[in-house]
Amino acid sequence: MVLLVILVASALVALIRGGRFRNLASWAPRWGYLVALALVIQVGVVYLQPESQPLIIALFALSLTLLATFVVANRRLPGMMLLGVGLALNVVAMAANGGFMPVSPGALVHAGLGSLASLPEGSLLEGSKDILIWPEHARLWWLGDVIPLPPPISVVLSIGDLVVGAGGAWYLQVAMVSRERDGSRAHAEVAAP
Amino acid sequence: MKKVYWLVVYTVLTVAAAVIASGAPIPWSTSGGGG
Repeated sequence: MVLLVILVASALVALIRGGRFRNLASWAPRWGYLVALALVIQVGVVYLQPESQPLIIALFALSLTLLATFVVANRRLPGMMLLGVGLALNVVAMAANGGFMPVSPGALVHAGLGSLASLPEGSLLEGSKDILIWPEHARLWWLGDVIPLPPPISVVLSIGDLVVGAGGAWYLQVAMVSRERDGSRAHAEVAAP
Repeated sequence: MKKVYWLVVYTVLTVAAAVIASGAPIPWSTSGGGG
């Protein structure tokens, strides 16, 4: 939810700067259905919780591949490459840790989620992509969920999450504030093969 | 006008979904394991 708050805050700043939602029409991304499909897969995995770990990993990989394809297809849009870098950082962290995002007990405690910190190492946290791993046992632990936000927010973010949020915020700033004429030109460039 | 409205809606939803799905956290997480 924190990432959505970042987007809403960016939209408000853009409005204050004289931007308009209408301008977004000139900066519409291509292949939005890839994102919708990726999100549906992730929601499905999180809520249905398949028992097979390889299946979960395969579905996450499919979802992330769809997202990467979307980013590449829209790489000329403002902020999209930054979003892609954040996505890549998260993918690297997950790939290095068996397909799941590592989160440490310490980070959970600082986020006010101490009850989860007492779970056995290697536990998959219900309703997330996270796996509980001690930092000394995690590969590239610093790319995992290491940034705790205390209650009442109670979430743990990764560096990649922040970069993703920055990419989305950048997109809204440019797309909402820029004049439609400029936006149309950029959209034409994006639409070009 | 109506086309522009739907294009804006499509753009907002797509970008929001891309940010949510690209971030490691699942925002609907009951465990809070993410943002």
